[in-house]
Amino acid sequence: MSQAVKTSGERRLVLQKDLTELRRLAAFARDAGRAQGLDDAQIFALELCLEEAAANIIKHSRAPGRPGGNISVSISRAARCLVARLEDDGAPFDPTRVPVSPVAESLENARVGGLGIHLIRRLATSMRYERAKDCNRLTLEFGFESDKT
Amino acid sequence: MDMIVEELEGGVTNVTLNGRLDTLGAESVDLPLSVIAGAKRAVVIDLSNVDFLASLGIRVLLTSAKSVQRKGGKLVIFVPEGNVLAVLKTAGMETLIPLFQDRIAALAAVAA
Repeated sequence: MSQAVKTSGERRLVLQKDLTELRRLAAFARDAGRAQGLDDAQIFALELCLEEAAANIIKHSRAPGRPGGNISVSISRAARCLVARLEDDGAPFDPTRVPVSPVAESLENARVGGLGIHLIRRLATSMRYERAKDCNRLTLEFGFESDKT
Repeated sequence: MDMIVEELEGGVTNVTLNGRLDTLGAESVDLPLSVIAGAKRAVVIDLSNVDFLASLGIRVLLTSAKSVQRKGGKLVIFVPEGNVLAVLKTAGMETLIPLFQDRIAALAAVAA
């Protein structure tokens, strides 16, 4: 599935499917965000969404009989948004199908879980999932205005 | 992630977290924090030196708050204006755990 959207300034990082790799991802997100001229809050949102998305992939997409594996992360700029893409060759995992959990009205009834996807839904402008060539591809778009073109 | 625990007057336990409460940071404080939440009834979690917060960190805070509440106690969070407070609000924590932007007010809220 090819993307017709023209992107620029792409940066790429390959991670192993290990939670200790998330710090490297965070540094990558901050560097890319700064290079794109994002402000602190925008960089924080980008960093958080990538952390949540990658943590979910690490937890959910381990392919049976195939330990390890990598996640390829890219960040680039399209015309009106920043595009972050995560690709991995693990078991199919579609975070967009995780049901939207209702907001708890009391601490007693609050359920612990599903928060990561909730944060991505709130902070990213869009989240799209594709399964192609035995790979998961998650695309997050952020409608950040940039002072750089 | 560093954690400093202080026992204050009036039976108040002040827990200061320093660093990133991201997935790894949350894993490292999960156990020590749940021990405190299981034993104490008046707890202030100080996030003023935390510069990043992810969902697992929020989950650890929520689990601790539930645990303290089950004993009839109270857990509140001291978190100044900034990105960490914004994430807590985005996650809907504002209505579940009292969030104070002022340290004195947070301590007063749990003191009997």
